[in-house]
Amino acid sequence: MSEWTGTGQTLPGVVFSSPGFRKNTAGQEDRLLSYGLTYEKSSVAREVKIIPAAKQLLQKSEAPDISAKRSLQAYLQKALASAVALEEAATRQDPVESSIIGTQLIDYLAELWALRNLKQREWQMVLNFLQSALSKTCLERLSLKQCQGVRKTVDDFLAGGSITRERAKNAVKTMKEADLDVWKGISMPEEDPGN
Amino acid sequence: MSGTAVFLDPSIVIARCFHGPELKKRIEKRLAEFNIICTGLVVKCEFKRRVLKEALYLLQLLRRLGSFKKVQRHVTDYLPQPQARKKQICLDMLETISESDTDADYTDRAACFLEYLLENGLDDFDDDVDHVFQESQCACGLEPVRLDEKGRYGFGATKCAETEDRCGIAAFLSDCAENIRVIHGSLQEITDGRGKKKPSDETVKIYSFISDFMKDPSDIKKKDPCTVVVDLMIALESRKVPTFYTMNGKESQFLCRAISQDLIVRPNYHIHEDIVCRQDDPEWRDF
Repeated sequence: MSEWTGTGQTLPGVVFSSPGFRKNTAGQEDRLLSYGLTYEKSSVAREVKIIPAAKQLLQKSEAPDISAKRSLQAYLQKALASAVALEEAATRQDPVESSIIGTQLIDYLAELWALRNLKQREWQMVLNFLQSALSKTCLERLSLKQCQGVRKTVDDFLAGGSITRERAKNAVKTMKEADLDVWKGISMPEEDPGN
Repeated sequence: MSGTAVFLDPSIVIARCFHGPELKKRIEKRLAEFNIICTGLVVKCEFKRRVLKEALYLLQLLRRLGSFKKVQRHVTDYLPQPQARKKQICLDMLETISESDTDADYTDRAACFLEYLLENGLDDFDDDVDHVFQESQCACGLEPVRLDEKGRYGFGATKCAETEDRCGIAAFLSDCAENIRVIHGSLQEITDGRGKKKPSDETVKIYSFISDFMKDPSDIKKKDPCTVVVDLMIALESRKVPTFYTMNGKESQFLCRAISQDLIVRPNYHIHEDIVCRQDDPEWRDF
């Protein structure tokens, strides 16, 4: 708690708005600014008015962080570049390169997953399916067909703008046709011979 | 479309999506031998009942409990053993998708899978095969999963008796009268004890159903044939296809023999080979 001393003295980290009021926390000060909340010593709040300036403040805090959007675009480009390189490695039948690039791609997809709230639900589903298909996969043994499927999914769908429900189905179809197991994430593990 | 054809029953349709990777490979390898992969509306209805209902259950749990871990514990603690054994969807593998995932990530991933399944699973069901037989006009199989404005999923009718005039099952059974008569004759021998094999309870139920139907075919929908004798309904749906593929041979061994189909049974464990029973084999093994 910080207190106004009444002598005009300021305390570090505290902003005093007007005399006669006791400030409790810096956080409460922010809240007062945002909502124009009139505060009394009795701690009873009066009517809440959202002042125009406060509205802008709220909208600004709800708007997606520009830097997050830029990160998303950057990771999309990196994922696409990796997917293209993966396809090339599979064409050359270079399993070591496939593994290195595949690992990189998986990392970029994980970054995209962390930023998924910037995109719509169908996009998130497609990304989830792709990550699921590449999980627990022997990257050295990805076939050319599978790598082409990965590249198409990243290029045509993830990096291709917004995804409708129909396009999400097409993305799933693309992955299935490339022998990528989209349901791996909710499939049974390897069977127990005892069963 | 022309060429060799195979009919998939619900166990194979479900295994193609949700069983282990090696088993999936086995199934796809077998299916690659055929030109045309078919299934039917009653199979679709079973897919809805077995997979999509489970998806809805899990999604509702996720929304209610808000945590993947809590859902896992809840399912372990509260789902009775018989239901637990029949689970189609396994959430355990979610933890292998990304090393950096938190419980919130698992929760969201699970929701992504389940929401997609509910919203698009029936369309994907059609897309995953070359042909879906519509002859039965099974209303439950035709009914889509609907999402209302509050985000709740509705399955519509799930039993024949709930479908009013929308269901064509009664007419379909009339069209299959000759096949039903042959199946009845074949099962009579087995249930009388004259056959070499012991019939399962389900087989006995099928025989009893057919006997009742032959005596009085009216109001057959009230007996919920697609729930009570689903194996019979699927066998009748498949009757024009020379080969039937299943993971459960118990009832199929009698039904396929009666309607002159080849039967392929896929064992649960991927190491084992498919069991192929051809029509011209004098004897089929017991399942």
